Amino acid sequence: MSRMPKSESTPQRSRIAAAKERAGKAKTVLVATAVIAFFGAIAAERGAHHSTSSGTQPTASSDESDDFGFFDDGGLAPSQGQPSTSTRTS
Amino acid sequence: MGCVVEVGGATAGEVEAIERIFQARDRQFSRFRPNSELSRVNRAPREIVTVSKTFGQMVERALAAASATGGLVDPTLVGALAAAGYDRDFDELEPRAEKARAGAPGHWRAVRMLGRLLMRPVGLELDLNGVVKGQTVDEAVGLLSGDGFVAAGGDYAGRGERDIALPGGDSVRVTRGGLATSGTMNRRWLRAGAWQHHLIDPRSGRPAASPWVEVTVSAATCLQADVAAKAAFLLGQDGSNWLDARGLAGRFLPEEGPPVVNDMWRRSVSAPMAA
Repeated sequence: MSRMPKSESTPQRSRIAAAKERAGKAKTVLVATAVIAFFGAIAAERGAHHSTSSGTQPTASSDESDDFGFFDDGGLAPSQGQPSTSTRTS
Repeated sequence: MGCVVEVGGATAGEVEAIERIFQARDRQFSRFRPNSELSRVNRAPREIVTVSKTFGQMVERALAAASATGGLVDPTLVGALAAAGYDRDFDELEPRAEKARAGAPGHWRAVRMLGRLLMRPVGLELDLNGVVKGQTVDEAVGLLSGDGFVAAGGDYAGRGERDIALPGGDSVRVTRGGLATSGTMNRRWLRAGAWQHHLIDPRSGRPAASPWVEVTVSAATCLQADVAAKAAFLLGQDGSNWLDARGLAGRFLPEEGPPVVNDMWRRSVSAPMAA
């Protein structure tokens, strides 16, 4: 009588242990992937720093800007009264 | 931020909130406060620095402004400003006999934000003033419950239509968005008898030579107007076409003579023809 529970619980435990092991491996893989991705991104950024800071200078000209989405027009009209405030050198 | 902040149409509580946001930004982004977050970041002896969320967002805006202007509005010109003599709070600057030097050209492309991680070569200092004031004006206007305005050192944003006085005389009605002026009339100082100013040309590392003393731009936000005004000033004679190509209205005040306006400004402000 006492064997039945034992013989049933052993495969149960082994299934649970196997599931835990699989979960543990998956977790390790996920953490490792995240760590590799993080340091990969940092390495890529560092590479970008060195390539820009060591050799090239900024290209400041009116033709080389990438302003899509940055500027939008405001609204102006002829003045109709006494100014409330002023705009001057900032 | 070294400027007077004007607020119109706000409740007493809103005025206090606006005052708090400007004071907080000054504490966080001043180049001349040793304990500001900016100073701590600039001193950090590591390539990668963890910054606050607000700081990171401001860096991202500064990089977007640099990209949008082809590097003209560059947040990495601290060395050039110091070489020109702007090495302490503006109110403490006095004429000096030594000549201004050229500083290092801009290196904004060497700066990256990854989440809250700021990456830049050690020793490359940031000056975010080119975006902090305009952005703070925009945020301050967002605190108003009704029609009103906020103006800080000539950077204006408001709700509702309002007439604004312009450099050199005249005025204009702002019906939407922001209006900002950049130039050399106020923020300038003497080195070896030569005037220096804070608008550094990132290509030369020196204060820009421009035919204009003041450039005023209208845009959807104060931040955009301020960035565009700086770029148009630095571009000199090309500034007018640069603004037109982006659909922005601009007004250029030369050292002598009447102001010049671009096509967008002329179309917006010219009085309608009588039928």
